Amino acid sequence: MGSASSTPTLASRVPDGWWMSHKRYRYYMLFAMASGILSLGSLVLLVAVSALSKGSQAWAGFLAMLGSPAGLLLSVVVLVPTCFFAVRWLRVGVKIPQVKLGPMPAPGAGMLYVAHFGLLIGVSLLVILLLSGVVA
Amino acid sequence: MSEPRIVKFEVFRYSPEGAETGEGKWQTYEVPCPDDYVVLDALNHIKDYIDPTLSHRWSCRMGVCGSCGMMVNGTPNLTCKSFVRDLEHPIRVGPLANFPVVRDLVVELESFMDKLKSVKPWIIRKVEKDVKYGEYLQTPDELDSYRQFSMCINCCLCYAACPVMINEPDFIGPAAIALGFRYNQDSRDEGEAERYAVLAGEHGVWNCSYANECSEVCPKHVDPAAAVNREKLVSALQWLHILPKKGA
Amino acid sequence: MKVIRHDIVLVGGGGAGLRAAIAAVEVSPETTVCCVSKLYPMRSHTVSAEGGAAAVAGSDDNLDLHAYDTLKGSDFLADQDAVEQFVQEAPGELTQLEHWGCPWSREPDGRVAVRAFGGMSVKRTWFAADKTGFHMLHALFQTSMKYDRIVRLDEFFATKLLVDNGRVCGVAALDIRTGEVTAVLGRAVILCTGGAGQVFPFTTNAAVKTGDGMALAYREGVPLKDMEFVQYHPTGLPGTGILITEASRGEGGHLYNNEGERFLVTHDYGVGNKAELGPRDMLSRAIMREMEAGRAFDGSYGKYVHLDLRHLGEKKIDEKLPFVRELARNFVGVDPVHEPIPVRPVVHYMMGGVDTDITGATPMPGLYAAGEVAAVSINGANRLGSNSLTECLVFGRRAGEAAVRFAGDCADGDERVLVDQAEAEHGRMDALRNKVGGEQIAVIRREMQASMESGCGVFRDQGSMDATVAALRQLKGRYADIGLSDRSKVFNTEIVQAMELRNMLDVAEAVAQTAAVRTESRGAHTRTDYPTRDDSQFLKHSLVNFSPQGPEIGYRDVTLTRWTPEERKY
Repeated sequence: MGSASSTPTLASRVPDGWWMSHKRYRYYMLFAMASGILSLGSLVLLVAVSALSKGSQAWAGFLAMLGSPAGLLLSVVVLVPTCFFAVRWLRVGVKIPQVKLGPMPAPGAGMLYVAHFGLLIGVSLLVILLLSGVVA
Repeated sequence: MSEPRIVKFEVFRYSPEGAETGEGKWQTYEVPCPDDYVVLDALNHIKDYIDPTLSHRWSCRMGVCGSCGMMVNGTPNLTCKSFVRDLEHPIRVGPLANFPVVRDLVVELESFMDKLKSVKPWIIRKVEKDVKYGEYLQTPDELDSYRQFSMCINCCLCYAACPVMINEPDFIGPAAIALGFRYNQDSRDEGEAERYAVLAGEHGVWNCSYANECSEVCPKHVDPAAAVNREKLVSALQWLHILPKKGA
Repeated sequence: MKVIRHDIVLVGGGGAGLRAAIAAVEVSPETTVCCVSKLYPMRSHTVSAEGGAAAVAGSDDNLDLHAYDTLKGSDFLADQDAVEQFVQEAPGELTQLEHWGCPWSREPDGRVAVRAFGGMSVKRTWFAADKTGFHMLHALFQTSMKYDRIVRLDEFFATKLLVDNGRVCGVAALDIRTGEVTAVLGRAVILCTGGAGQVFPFTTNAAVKTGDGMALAYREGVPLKDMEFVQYHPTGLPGTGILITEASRGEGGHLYNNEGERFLVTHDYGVGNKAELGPRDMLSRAIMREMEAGRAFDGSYGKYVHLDLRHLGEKKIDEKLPFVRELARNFVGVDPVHEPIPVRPVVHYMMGGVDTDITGATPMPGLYAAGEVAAVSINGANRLGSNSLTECLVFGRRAGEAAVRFAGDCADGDERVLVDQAEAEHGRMDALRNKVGGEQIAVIRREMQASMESGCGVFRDQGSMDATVAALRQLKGRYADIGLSDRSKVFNTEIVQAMELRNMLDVAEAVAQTAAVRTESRGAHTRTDYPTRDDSQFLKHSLVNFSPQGPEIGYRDVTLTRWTPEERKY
């Protein structure tokens, strides 16, 4: 693909640090970088699973670590970009399913918004309720 | 009409010939701009009365021919609808990013034209209906399912905005994919299977990281990001044989 | 010298050109077509057409009615055999476009929808919202990509027809990218370069509409026909001249003066019950009369009247006229849902053009023309809105097919003779690029445009036209002394502008001279000193031939078949 140039051209130059140089890209880069921090959250989950497998003492130690000031700080550090990521992803992601698939009609944007954010909020609430012991 | 005010423009200049060869340079012009001037008016004023050596493309000056896309203060825009009064001064006008520069504000579009053709942007049918039997019926709903993606004016602003294009110049890109998707969605078309290899192939939709920048800058609200990412969904389901390909 | 050889050479890649190209390769399985266009085809000015394309569709309509409307709109200067052929082939062509993917607006049951248009007695205008030209052009361009036998030379500017022994056998074309001249040879040449609105200062036409094809043919001795007829579209935006489509009136929009009157209803302008759906020439005159009577608004770009769409409601405007809303908001800061749009008459279309017959053939063997560059003529003294897009298709196809037949019957031209002419063009380009002189392109262009507006506007008289003729002659003299600043070869747009200006000066002179000797009023040619139509002397096409001393003008009778010219009253 692409034809040979018939006259010399100036290659499209990209300045160093282009990805943070313009506000157009900054938002997207923050989004991409948020996924890095999100992986910290996954790491915590892995540690939790590992602790669970090692018995109740290890699990209690893990819970204590989560409850420590450092653990709480980590939770907050992970929570903020997670929310940012989720909201942005749902905002642009809602465009994807608006397509006719086979015999299924294309769902409308409004319905998808409600479904997406409803699911996010619903699942979050359920987790909070489960963890807080209100629902056993 | 109020008196024109003098506005400073910094315009990118490059020529592969003579003294200006090299990396190009920014040249400053002072242009008297009436209140309703668009950037294109200012460029034409420079060309006509200040510096006839400036080269730029333009034609319809009503935002539909797609010729006059440039970087205006760092953002890709149609210069015919970028009002001088709305911009920070000095106004920097450069050639569209992510394209090789031929001269001044003129970029090389040949690779884009090849990409357009690669998605087979025409109605493909197994059996053509004779014209004498009239039109193919298409309900307003069927029309709406692709109409938005048929609005592309090929101005290439989306290529200049797409961060993927910086590292993957062979990515067939937002406009071409949106056009391929437009035909796939058209109830009259049966060419989805023929376009699959290109749209879902090495340089196709999976290069996109969904920055959504193409849709942010699109002057015709085509929303190419929606087309690209819907095609991801559709082609993934087709790859899994959950969904058939039209015309296969 | 680079020499490229194909069967057919096409100049221009707009609606007519692409239709001709597709027709040529479809009708003949071996034919190759080389499309020489000064811009990428999808940039062509067809893209700006908004309202629609006419062809009989409904059961309330018939071919004779379309023909009659067209003839009456033309003030009976159209050739009746051509119009009959045109209306007959129109529905098939628009259906063909539908098969090629054009997103025509639809009825709920899936059939193509039609809308009302000026001068048409029933709804017969097919449309794709209010971006009909855009969608037609892109559908044609995208379809043309299917054929490898359509070879494009994008951004090549045709500078001269290459002629061997009276027969055209190609063009010399400047590759704008490299600055080199290429000899593009073929056994037939089709001109589809569109109109010449840029000879006027205030026009809906794109910057590229500089009459190139008309001038190319004219300078090689091919006559231009009916050049005095220049259509003013009644509704352009003041300042920019951006078109506000007639479809806005077709959908029910009204025109108001500064006293709040629907002046087409309250005053007698000859449009009768049609009011806003009267033909363009009459509406433009009516608006100018309102201005003269002091019943127009005053703005920074002169007087204007109001086009009111508010009563249509937001839903209908967004569905049927979204581009009008976008243009009005962007370019004059007016949202037609809430405010009336300021409009005034603006130069829109050249009824005249290269003299062709019903197949698109010009008097020069091998040379064809279609679209606005040509005068077949189906438009006569005034074109009806939405006939021109259809004309591009019907006569584009006819020219493409006729060119294939011609090219199949003859041998190649003498290559030495043709390449010598192209070499001479190369020398001329080098000389022009390095030309030193005291005159500026932009200044001569501006003076030409001002002169055309003052002499060849909506209302004309002998004195003003004679003054324009004299001014143009003087400008042509000054053109010989232009100087260019850009000496580089790569993408030198200054040399293109210089050649466009030369083309425009030739076309402008043809318009002004033919106008000055037609001592009657007919269609868009309205003279205050000869206010009536004179069929005894002027039921004739004007034909203007180039000569170094100045244009030579002759006449040819209009072809009449079944309709007798009558008084044009609605």
